[in-house]
Amino acid sequence: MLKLIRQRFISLLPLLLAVALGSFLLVRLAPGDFLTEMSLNPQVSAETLARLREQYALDQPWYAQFGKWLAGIVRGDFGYSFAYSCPASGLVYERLLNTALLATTGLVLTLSLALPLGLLAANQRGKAIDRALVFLSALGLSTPSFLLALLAVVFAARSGWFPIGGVRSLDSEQLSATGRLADFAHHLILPATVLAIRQFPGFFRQLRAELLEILTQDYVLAARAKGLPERTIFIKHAFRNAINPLITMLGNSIGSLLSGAFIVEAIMSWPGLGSLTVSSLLSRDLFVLVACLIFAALLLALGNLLADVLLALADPRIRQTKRL
Amino acid sequence: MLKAGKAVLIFCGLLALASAGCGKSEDAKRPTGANRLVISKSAGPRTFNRLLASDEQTSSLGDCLMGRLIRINRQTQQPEAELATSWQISADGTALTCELRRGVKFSDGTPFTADDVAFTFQVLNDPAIASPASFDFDGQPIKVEQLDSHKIRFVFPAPQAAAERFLDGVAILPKHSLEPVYREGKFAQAWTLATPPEQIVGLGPFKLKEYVAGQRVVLNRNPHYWKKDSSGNQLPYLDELVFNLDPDRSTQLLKFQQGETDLLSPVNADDVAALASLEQQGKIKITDLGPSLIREIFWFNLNDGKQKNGKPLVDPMKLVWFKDLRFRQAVSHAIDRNAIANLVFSGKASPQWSFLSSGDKLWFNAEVKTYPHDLNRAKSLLAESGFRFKSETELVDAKGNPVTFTLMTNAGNAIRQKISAVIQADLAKLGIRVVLTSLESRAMLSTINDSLNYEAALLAIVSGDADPNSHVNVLSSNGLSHWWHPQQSKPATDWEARIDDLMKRQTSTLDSTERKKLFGEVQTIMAEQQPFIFLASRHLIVAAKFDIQNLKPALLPDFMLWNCEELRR
Amino acid sequence: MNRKLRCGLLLLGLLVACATLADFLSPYDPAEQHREFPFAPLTAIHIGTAESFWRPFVFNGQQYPLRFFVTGAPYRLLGFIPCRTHLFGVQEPARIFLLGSDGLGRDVFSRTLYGARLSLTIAAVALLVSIPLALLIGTLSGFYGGWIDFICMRLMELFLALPALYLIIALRSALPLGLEPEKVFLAMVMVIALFGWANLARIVRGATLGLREREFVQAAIALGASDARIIVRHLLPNLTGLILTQAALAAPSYILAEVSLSYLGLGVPEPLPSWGGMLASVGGVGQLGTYWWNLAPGAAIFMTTLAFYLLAEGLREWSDPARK
Repeated sequence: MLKLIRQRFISLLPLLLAVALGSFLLVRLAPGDFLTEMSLNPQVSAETLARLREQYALDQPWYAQFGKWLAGIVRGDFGYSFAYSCPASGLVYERLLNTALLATTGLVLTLSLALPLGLLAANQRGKAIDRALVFLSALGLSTPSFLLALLAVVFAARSGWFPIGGVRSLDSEQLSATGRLADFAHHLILPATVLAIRQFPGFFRQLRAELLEILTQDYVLAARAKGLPERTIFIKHAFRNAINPLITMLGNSIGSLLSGAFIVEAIMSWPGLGSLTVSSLLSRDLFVLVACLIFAALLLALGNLLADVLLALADPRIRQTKRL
Repeated sequence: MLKAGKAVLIFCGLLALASAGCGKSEDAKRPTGANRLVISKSAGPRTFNRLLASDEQTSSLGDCLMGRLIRINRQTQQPEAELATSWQISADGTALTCELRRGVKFSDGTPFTADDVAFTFQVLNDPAIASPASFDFDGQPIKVEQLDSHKIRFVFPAPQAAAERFLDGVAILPKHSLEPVYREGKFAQAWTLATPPEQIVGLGPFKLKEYVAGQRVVLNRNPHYWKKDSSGNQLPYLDELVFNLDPDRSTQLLKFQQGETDLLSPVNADDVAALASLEQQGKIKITDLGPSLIREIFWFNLNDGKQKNGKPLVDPMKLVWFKDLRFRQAVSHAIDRNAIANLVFSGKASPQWSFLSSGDKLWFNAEVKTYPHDLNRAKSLLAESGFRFKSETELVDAKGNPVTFTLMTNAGNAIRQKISAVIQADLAKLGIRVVLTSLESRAMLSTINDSLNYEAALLAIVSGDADPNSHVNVLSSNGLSHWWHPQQSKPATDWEARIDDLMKRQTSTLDSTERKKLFGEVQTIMAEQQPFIFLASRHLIVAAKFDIQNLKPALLPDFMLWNCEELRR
Repeated sequence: MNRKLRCGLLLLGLLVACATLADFLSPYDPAEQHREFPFAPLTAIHIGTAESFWRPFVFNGQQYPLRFFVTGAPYRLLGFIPCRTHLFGVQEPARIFLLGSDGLGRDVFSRTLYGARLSLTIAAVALLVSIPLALLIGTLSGFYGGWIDFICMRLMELFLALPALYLIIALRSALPLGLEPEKVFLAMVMVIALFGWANLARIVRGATLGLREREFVQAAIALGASDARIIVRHLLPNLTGLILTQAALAAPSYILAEVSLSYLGLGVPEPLPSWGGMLASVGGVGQLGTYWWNLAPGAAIFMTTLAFYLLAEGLREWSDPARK
């Protein structure tokens, strides 16, 4: 297991390098650069633009800039943001915590809904409750996230139960520590729920389908024949065996929550990594984009590593072969 | 099941915490009383250094924090005294002398003198800083002469009309706090978003209280602000000004509806209906200021240059059409501007024919050629130019080539998507096939500014100021934003040469009636030639809570907060 | 054939029929702007004119009977038969908007029907590209493990870390400007598909890891069966359920990917109607409640999701007769 983890960390390097290279290419080869927008300003002269371009090294070929950036990375310097004239890594750290908290809460929420409901649906197969759940999961699957987020903020506004977007209340600094935490949790619930609704159908359906398949297997029949209680069969036999694909999906969803949540983040005013990534791509804020994608890749790789470790833990057969 | 159980527990814990939060947040909403104004912004500032960024958010925040020598009164569109108590333009128009206000202090208590102004212009003129707020006049910087501790003179290389207006964009920096940084060559990294708030020192009505990354900027009253109201009360009236960052306009609308924010500007035309009931209840005031300074335009690429690979920028066959005045006029006649105003802007827009919107009240020339929706007129113009109908639905040029072009617009802008669909349908009635394409905005700007290989584009122009000088970039043939044919070394057509001449003359004419006449002729030429086919200017609509007083909403930005020191509730 | 399969086939068949016969079924050209009727609500259909008690009509100042097989805008049936007949219509100046009209006065019903073409194509093409790719790479990497697995997994992580969205933004700017909307659309589908495989491949790999250690696979290996035979005869049949479930989950997500793109304005260009573009143009909360009929494509996406689900479930049961 330790070997696996060590090996993964070594392999991260080429991945991160490839991500960095990819994002450099994305930005530098796309038409326009950070200064393009400034040319709209009637005050900005062509000379000023040229001078700034030189300052930002945008007049150099991309590989020269990439080389310089790599040299900086060795010193832990992720480069400066053009837009905010501050270190890119600082901008990303600010967002990283928000995103990580939102993504984890979303996942916990998803799993705490999908696992019991998946078991329930498989158990009550074909009955009304199963059908209703399948119907709801189809509804969740077919609602675009922007619509879901819009509905959520409308709900927050109409009911008054939740704040309309944001991370903290205006005067949260004056609250006690627990008050602040509660305030934060209060803001977190709605966006996390939106993410959970998007994620739920996948986990739910996979679990349900897998369980149904396993329930017809010989060992389950044997267990039934032995007269084991249905509860034990479900949890000890079926569930343990159904969980493999779910764990892999878990690893994947960490990645997709990081990159795919930007619309939810924008609508619900949640300053996360996703919206920073999109805005830095659109404004061609090169080093911020690279930093964003690198951190996202890191989290993704960690998620996958976690999934693989869990996979090995959940399935002794995989663990024993030492192939991981 | 065990794991799921734990997860449920954690979730329940969170819920409990949150419900505790629910109870608290009610009384936590407004502990500092009502003397605070909250407003949603779609993006945050990029820096607190007003001279280093030119984006809207940074400027409108910067104007609350920083002081200026002269401010343009957004409502009258005329300059008014701020840190300069008076100003004088020399008889030949090459010098502007300002008398500075005495006894003024920065927000940290340090007195303000001419040294600060001189320092500000030293930074502004420094090529190494490359400030987007910097000015030059015909490539030469402004000379600054410090006459005494409270008197300063700006000298221009040539007579300059309305010279005082440029001072509106120059935030005066504190020499005492920024000079050391500047000397070290680290000015570009000073006053970033990460700088501790107390280090940011200004002459504006407010000072920075806190910046919460990606969430909000909170300003509070600057106790040293110099301005007092007519009865001698210290301004500003408000204790706090809060800028909430809400990227999505739906969220902004909802927050305003719920009373979480106090101003909404601008209000989208589609959202006016959603606010109507609140207005009837007397909870908010909606103001329609009429045609704004934003003008939707589309134009054909008239560049006759070549790409790097030797191919012409525009297909020569199409360039012939585009350069044909009657073709452009016919297209202009074919477009149903009322449909654009009604369908795209829910009626909250006015059709437009020439360069200025009527909101530019000091300079607007109403006596220009107009292009009412008239298909027959369009068809006869096309026929005069040798175009003919091959079939009911296909127009061909004199050589039998079908008339078709690609119209490019910026992605993610619902308004432009709709306008382009209207144009497409309107021109289809003339037998012209329009292919629509949308590019993400950087890519589009880089196409119209640099690579220049496109056929037609749809965009908007916005005036930075209500003065002809602010349009030089668009109107002069060597301008960067002379989009139909930018950065010409010498004018390609007679009418462009004439516009160049008129623009030069108005810049050096000190008499405003004469300037108005000259600029009026520019508008006449633009209307006649239709290098830009002007479509409509949307109305500027703003909304505010009923209890906010002294609001003077205006067409120039910041529409609502430009007189933030006077706002009260 | 079981009931689920029948229902799924029926529903999908219906959707495909709507897509292919869209020109005949829709009363108007999807791009036609009825400018006097922006945001018209659903046209009420009354029954019983003066002449006939059963005759349906619409009311627009006076009664306009609903006519069938009317002559209208010309089109090519099935792409090649020139035709002017539409299933139904009313005489002008009355209009029939079964699902209301959008902000430019275009018929939402006609646009939804036409939109099925694009959206179903997206789902089909993306599935056809991503599923085989995912199966190939997933099984190989799960079965062989070792360095093949290592390389494949890192490649997947790279694809997941540089999400398709960013590539599409860059790609759109790189494509020639005058490109026909249809080709732009095709390019986007390919990108969606090319990035869709990575997630699936990981799930396939996870399941393969588990299967490989199962007795029947181990037995086959012990018996000296060739790798290809083991993969094709033993692994793939056992992955069918998983793949079907995942495909049913992926299809709507591909359709929704286009919604997200349209939300950023990078979807299918006008005048081609697509479900994503239509939904994204609903815009903000101001219009959401007032002009709710513009959400009609959402219902269409829901039906598609349900169809894919039923099909997948039905196929699973059908392919495994041991299960009822």
